[in-house]
Amino acid sequence: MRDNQHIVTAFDDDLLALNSSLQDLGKMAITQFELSIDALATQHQNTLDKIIKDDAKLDELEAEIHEKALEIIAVRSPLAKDLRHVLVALKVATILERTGDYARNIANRTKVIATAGNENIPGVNIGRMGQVTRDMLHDVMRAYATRDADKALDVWRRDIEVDHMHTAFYKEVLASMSRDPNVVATGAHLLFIAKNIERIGDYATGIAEQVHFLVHGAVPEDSRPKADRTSRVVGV
Amino acid sequence: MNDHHEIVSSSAGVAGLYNAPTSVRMAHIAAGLKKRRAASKRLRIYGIAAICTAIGFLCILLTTIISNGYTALQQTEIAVTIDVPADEIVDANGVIDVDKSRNYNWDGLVKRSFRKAFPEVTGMLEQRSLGELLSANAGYDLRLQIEAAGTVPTGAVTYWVKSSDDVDMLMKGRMDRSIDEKKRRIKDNQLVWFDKIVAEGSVRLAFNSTFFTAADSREPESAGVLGAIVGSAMALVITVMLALPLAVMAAVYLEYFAPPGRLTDFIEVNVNNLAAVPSIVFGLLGLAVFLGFFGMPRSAPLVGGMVLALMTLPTIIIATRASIRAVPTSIRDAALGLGASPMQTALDHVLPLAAPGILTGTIIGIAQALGETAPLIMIGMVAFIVDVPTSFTDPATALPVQIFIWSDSAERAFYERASLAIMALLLFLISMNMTAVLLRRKFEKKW
Amino acid sequence: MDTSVEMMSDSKLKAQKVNVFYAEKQALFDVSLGIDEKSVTSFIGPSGCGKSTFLRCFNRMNDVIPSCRVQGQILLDDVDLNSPKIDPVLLRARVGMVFQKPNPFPKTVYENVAYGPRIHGLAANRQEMDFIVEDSLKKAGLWKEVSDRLNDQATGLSGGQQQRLCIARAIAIGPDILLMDEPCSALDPIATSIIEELISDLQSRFTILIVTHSMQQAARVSQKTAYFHLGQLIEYGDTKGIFTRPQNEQTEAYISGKIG
Repeated sequence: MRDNQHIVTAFDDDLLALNSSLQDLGKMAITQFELSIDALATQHQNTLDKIIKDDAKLDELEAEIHEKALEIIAVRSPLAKDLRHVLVALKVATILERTGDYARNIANRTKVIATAGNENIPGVNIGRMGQVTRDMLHDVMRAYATRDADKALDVWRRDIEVDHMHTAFYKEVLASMSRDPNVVATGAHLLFIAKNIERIGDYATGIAEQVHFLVHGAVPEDSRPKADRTSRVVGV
Repeated sequence: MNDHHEIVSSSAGVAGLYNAPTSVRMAHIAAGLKKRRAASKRLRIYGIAAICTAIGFLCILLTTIISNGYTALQQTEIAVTIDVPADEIVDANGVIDVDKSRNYNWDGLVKRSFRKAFPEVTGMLEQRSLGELLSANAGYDLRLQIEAAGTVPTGAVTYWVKSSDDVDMLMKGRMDRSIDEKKRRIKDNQLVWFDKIVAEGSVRLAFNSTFFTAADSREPESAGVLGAIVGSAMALVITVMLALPLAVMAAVYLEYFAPPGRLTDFIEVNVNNLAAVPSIVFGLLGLAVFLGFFGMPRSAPLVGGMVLALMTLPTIIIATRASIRAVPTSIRDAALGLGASPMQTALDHVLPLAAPGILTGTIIGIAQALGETAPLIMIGMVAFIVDVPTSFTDPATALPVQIFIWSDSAERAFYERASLAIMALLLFLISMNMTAVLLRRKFEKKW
Repeated sequence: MDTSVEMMSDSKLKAQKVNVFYAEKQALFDVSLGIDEKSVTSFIGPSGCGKSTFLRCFNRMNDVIPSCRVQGQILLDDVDLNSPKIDPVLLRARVGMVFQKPNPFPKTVYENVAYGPRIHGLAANRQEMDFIVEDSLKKAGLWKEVSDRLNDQATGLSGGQQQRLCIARAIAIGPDILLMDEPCSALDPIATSIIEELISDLQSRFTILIVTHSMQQAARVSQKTAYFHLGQLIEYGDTKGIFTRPQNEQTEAYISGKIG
């Protein structure tokens, strides 16, 4: 017999199903993001097409999770941890779906860059930034699966790294663009791609906050360290 | 029986009907169904038989009583032509003088007048036998008729006066003419005279109103139940007045106020036991305490009522407690929760709701008291009393005691009257129960 | 619990180390808590946890049960209710009670409401009584429905109406405090909602203590919630907190429907 079981066992089944759907969605979002980062480097056409096509699956699964959560709220009237569980699932599902959207956006922009055929891409660090963000996303989903608030907080703090990278990358691309007007189109796309990755990093912290809320009933109290200074960069 | 079961093994390998397909199981159940139906049918037949037996006995009882008693509703009367001597009983103004009338020898007048119809009867003994055809109270009967009429008619008038009880029995066919004269209460010569007046049409059966307007008498034809009914009614009034308030108060105390403990338990057990104490014991108690110690009047409905009240008390207490307990505790809680005192709770809410039950208990107790004979005999209510009682301390008798006295009398006519008195008693009971049902309907409230 | 002792200083009602025994069996163990004035406090917990017993301490309805003994202090405005100087009749005129099953007297609607004021002599004449009856029925949200049948039998009303009549009857004697022992357990959801709405209205006038089996109901109507288990007060605090992030695992298990 499992520990902490509900008297109505179907309630447990519902919560477990919701949980596993969300984990699936997490895996799918991570895969999409991974592929989009890879394809940015390889510019592999088939992969790009696949990313764009698969995004619909994420939308579908998110809708499913919403449906399930709604049903649980209506039928089971969850309270306390169960209530938080369902609310967190709703919120995290939305975040993951948005992550998928960003991955698709990255793929779309990569396609444009690839067609432009401009070889002069100055973003050396963008792959590294993508890698770090992917790890954050991966770790926070692990923290969710194991209900590990400390691990989630760890991810939450790591976002500052991504912010630093993004600021650096932003300045780099801006410099390249001012040096060579030919790369302005590509550069603009790259800036957006970098921004997308930075947003996904923010999303990972959002999920981390949800995990903390799930475990402790409250979001982390101290404010998150932020280091994205791109909004203050005036010129080079 | 050993109800302890231990499940040795719950492995699924058990064969048998439990695991058999539905069709097999149903067939098995259907096979046993016939036996089960037969058993329940048998039980139903036993029940019907029991009820039929009970109803049968009741019918026999009622038929016997009615067939023995209904004839007492009529009384044989004999027509006698009498010339009442007005000057003997009226005053100067021609109005009947009660004192004169009372002192006048009416018996002689009636007998003399009756003998005139039989000029052939001359001897003293014979004349006396002839007179015995009439009631010993025929003179008194005539006097009442004359006084009721208010005036004394001039000349000879035919009056109907009561016959003796023996003639009454003969008239109603309850006397066998064929048995030996010595064993017969009506002798041969009296039979001849009787047949003569019957042939003349001077004998009739009239409604026996005396039975319902008079008290006891030595002569069956003058005896009535009114005295006993009034005696019973008076005793019951006392019973209700004493037993009902005492019992209700006792029940309310026991249910609501008595602190739980040995003393309360002791009282409870004793109240329940009192209900089973033979009634004669209460009679002895009444004799010793009310008559002996307090010196209360013998044979009085007051004492009878007190004794019956003691006897009825436990019945009403038990019924009242049961009906108090039947009032939902939610009502009690509601009143207490509003700040009503326990007494207010009991009086305002619990007792009104328990009233129908209390009423039923009371009626049952009273009905029991009404039929009670033994304790009344103990306190002297068995006396021979010819006047209808007018107060609670007058000597009186009660209906069941009257029945007991009459059924014990030698005269055949008293036996007949005892049966009629039983009918009166039953009627009394039924009307009381009807009242109870009606009152209950009126008071019963739904919640 | 520390938190409850802290809150107690300015509470309307205070329970201090309350122990209740039924003969030899102890039903409540050292329960201490403070209840705010003009608020709704709900007591939840599994059957037999002592929450109703605790509620009945506040108007000494436990006195009715001969074997029941109450130890400890229950202070109403700093006066101990269990002191022999306090007359339970007087106390119950200050602490009204509404029971689990609607229990109107089998009398008219008017008589039901008028009974309390009558036994306490609160109305000098018929006009005053009429006013009390009307006002109480209005406060209980029943006036519109019964104003034209005040002389009908109360038992002819619907279940929800009967329960509101019982509330009107309780507030007709002008209590400070209203105790409600599972007031909606015999009612359908619509009638329940009406009563819950009524409780929210009454909160501005009365201090309300409610025992309920419905956790949603506790969550909806009360500001503070106390969770009892096996005669012990496990957790007491803001309702919002109890239902979103209970501090105690037993509370958590109970309110999320798990085997505790």
